[in-house]
Amino acid sequence: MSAGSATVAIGPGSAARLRWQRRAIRAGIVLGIAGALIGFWAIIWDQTDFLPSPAATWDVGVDLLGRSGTFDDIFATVRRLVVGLAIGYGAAVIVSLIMNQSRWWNGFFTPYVFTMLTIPSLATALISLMIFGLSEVGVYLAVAGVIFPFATVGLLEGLSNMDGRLNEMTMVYRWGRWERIRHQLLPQMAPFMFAAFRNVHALAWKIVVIAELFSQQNGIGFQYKRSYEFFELERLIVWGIFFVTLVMLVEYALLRPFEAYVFRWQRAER
Amino acid sequence: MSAAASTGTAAPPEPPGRSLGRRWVRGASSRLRTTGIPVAVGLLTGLAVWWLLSVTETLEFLPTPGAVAEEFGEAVTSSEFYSAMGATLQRIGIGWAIAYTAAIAIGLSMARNWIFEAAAHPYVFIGLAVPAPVTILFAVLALGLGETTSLVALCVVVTPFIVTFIYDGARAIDESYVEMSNVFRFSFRERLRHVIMPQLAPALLSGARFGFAMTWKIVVLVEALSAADGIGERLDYFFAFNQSAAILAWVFSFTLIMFVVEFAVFRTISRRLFRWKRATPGEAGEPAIVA
Amino acid sequence: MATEQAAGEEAARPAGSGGPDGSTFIEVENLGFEYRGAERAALEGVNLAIKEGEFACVLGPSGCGKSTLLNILSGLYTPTSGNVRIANELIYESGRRVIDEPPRVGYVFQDARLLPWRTVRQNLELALEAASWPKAEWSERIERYLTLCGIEEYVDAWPSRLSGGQQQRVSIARALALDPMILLMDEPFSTLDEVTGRFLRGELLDIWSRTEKTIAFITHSIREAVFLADHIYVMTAGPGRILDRITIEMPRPRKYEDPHLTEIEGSIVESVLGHWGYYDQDRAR
Repeated sequence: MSAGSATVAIGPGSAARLRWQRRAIRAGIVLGIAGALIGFWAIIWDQTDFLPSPAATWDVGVDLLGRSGTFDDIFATVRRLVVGLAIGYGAAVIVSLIMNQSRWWNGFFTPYVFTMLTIPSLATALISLMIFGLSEVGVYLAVAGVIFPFATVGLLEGLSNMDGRLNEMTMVYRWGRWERIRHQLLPQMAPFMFAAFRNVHALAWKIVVIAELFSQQNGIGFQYKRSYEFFELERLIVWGIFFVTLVMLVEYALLRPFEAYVFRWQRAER
Repeated sequence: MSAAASTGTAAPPEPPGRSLGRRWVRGASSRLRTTGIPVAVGLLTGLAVWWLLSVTETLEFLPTPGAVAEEFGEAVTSSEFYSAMGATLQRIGIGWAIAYTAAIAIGLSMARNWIFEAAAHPYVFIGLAVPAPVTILFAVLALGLGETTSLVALCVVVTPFIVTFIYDGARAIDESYVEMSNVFRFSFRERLRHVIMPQLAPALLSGARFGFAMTWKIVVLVEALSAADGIGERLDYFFAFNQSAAILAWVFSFTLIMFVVEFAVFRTISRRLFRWKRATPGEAGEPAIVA
Repeated sequence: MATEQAAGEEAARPAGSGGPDGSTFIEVENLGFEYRGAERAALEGVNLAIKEGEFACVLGPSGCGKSTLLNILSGLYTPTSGNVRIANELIYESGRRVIDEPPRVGYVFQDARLLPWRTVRQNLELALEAASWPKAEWSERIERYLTLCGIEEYVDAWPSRLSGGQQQRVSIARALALDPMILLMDEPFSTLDEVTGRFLRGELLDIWSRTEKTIAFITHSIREAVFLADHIYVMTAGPGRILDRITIEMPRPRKYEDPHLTEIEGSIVESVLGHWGYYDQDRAR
């Protein structure tokens, strides 16, 4: 937004160079601020009576990474996440396809999608945990139950944006139903399927941890509760960092590369 | 564009609003047929399945619809429910007000100034990535149990989400109108009022509504983990004591009330603000952003 | 048709200055403009002298800086070098603005740029307010100029309900309502369909003859330029400068289908293609 009476003029050729300059400066500022915050933390931590020292936190982190129990917890959480995601996303795919068939089916499922969308996710988690007696299944369905409506909505949006012209083409060339699904529908659906998945993936991580916190004896969520009960702030921070690292790892080392692979035909266009 | 249109012989456009009402009424009866029936069938089917499962005790802890209805009746006639609602609503109000104001300040500054954006980016990113329980529990360990702690935790969790909303909206301002206003020598106030604000308004409104929705959903978690009263605290209590019917009843009532509030407040505001948007056939005057 | 070829010495002598019929209204001397961080200047050594009441067309390929030139005249950009005078008042000198209150200009964009969240009337009122017109006169001026542009019945409509041609008329009315010193138009008809465009060109000439404004009109269409202009200023790219000033001596009113016009267009196409370097390449004609 420019508020002055003369706009700052940037011509086409120089824009690329300016962009790189800006990116470098920006990276510098981000790192600088992060460093400054950590430095700030190191200075003031014992002035307050609640902050742990960065050094102590680091030690706890290193120590935890050396123990196998840590990875048991992480694995438990990941397992629950994967199962919950599979159930929830799978259900969303099926339901969205059915809902897309006709207005009638759309109306049929709408109250459920809508209600589950509106209910706070904590409530969905608690309800699921309670109904299934605090068992593993409860956690799976807590995750599934929370992400299901979001995934459904995302997929429905994709379905409603299908390109009608390609449809006409397949009709003229008389494609069979399987060919149509495999070569026409799915490739068009793919971007939406990925986008929907990425969104609920982040959400699922948060829910699995909440569900574990309220009901399980292992897992990252359980570790949060334990740190809280034992008043160990360093532990809480470390497990928080583990969590964020894990999520980012999955997102950037797994999801995005996979997505780039599937969509490599797009880049070839340019 | 026909020659007739360009010579200006087409009829002047109908004022919006009136046609909306007429079309809505005409659509109501057919809508009843096409959507009302499947919705009703869906609900009834779900109810039937629920009842079957609960009565045959296939799931041990599933309460019957009857039990839930009973709890619901008790809740809406008890003072316990309303005092809990009161506490929660208060937290929602204060938390949302603070979070929204902060988000506007941060989000707009980020959109205007790329240096500020670089500086604020880490905070926003971490805020989005760290799960709410960590923030809440950290706040309790750091600040002790108390009302302030709960409010602080609530604001810290919700603000980054609203910031991204507002930031995206602010970035989408069309430069060509700003350019026009420069050429026609608009004063700063005129530009702000007539060119920038109308484009910012949808983002601000969506941000407010989205932020409000987020706030009332996160507050129950905050209360469950850190408060001594409120709906979330009660839900935690029912959970601990395995009162499944009560949980269902209270969740239902709370959600219903909050949804009505959100709908009533935000939909009316968005209708009035967006009269000018181009009407698509069948949707005269209906704003595009209401969701 | 008379073509004044200032071959080779365009930089030294302002093209077309000091004619017998009136003072120079828009005078541009040795104008240069560089975008920040760019390798090459967008404009360099541009010289222009447009007389009062003239309809001037600036013709050039894309990227030659004609929009930049217009933006400088409108006050949006400050040139990096050179002088600009409008109505004998020095606006820019050697890369600085030397006047506090630059003269009122009317600007018509390629896309109408009416605020879609304000009615037609409100859009004009905003322009009048920004130009400091007293409020008492707004209503009369708005009616007068909307009528002049043939669009007065839409005075209270929302812009998005109007067709592209109608929106451009409003845009023209808005520019004229200010009673500007000069009217600047940046390819205003290029996004419209052919029929609407033809119609509006005729209307524009009609409006011009009634208001007697000095108009600087940018276009990439040679035919449009020949139809509309008193003089065509041919620009070239990289960096942009005025190559040639072509006087169109066809009497008005002109007809778009006139075969004489086609002739003139043809010869201009020839010379323009030469200027723009199309014959330098290994291309069959």
